[in-house]
Amino acid sequence: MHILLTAAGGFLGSITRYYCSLMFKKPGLHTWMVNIIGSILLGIITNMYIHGLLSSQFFSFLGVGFCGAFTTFSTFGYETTHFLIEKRYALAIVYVSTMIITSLVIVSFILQY
Amino acid sequence: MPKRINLPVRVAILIGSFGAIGAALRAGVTEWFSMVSLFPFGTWMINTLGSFLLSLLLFHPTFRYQISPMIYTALTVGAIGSFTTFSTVTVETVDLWMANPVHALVYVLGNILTSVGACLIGYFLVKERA
Repeated sequence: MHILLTAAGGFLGSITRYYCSLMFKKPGLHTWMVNIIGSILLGIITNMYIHGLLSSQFFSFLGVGFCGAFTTFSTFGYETTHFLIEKRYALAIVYVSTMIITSLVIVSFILQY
Repeated sequence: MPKRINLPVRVAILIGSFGAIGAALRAGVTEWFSMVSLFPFGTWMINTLGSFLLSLLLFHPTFRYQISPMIYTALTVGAIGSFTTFSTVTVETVDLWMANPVHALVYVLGNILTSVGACLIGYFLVKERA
């Protein structure tokens, strides 16, 4: 049952991510935004789940399925590699560090409450 | 930059279906690993494997012309994109930090290093020989 809910969330999450990629043509920008927004969303959903405001079914659907599929690590790794191959080292470092630090800082605040 | 975005329904459904499979696989692998260890090795392995596969497909000089563009997008954006995840890494890192900050740092830096490393290996395996 949970795996079907996760799949349904993944269905919507991957379409939403693709839709966002069509909005921004600049390489890396949509992945950057999607990963930060998706992390914040998962932080909120996890917090609600921990406090008993969401059922485990909803968590599978929205958290594991939607947020998990909406955000992506493989494209992040690929784009970073692409910047490295093009010898744009500063851009690679800024891309990685701002994405990671921004999402970690915001999510750590969300999970405190 | 408001402009009309053209996403045909059949393309969306195909990407979504592959994305559903990717997400379900991820859930299965993560659950299996969670029975073995409290440390989130499942997500880490998934992200590294997915990054490697994606870079093989995207850096390959001819593969994209050998299959239908729709299937190509569904495989890369849909299946592999949904299989790997960033949001879970963020939440797991914050979670690890509360118990042991060193574990959190190892986890988040490890995810980045092995995934980018796997992409570089993929790139050198398939790039066009000059």
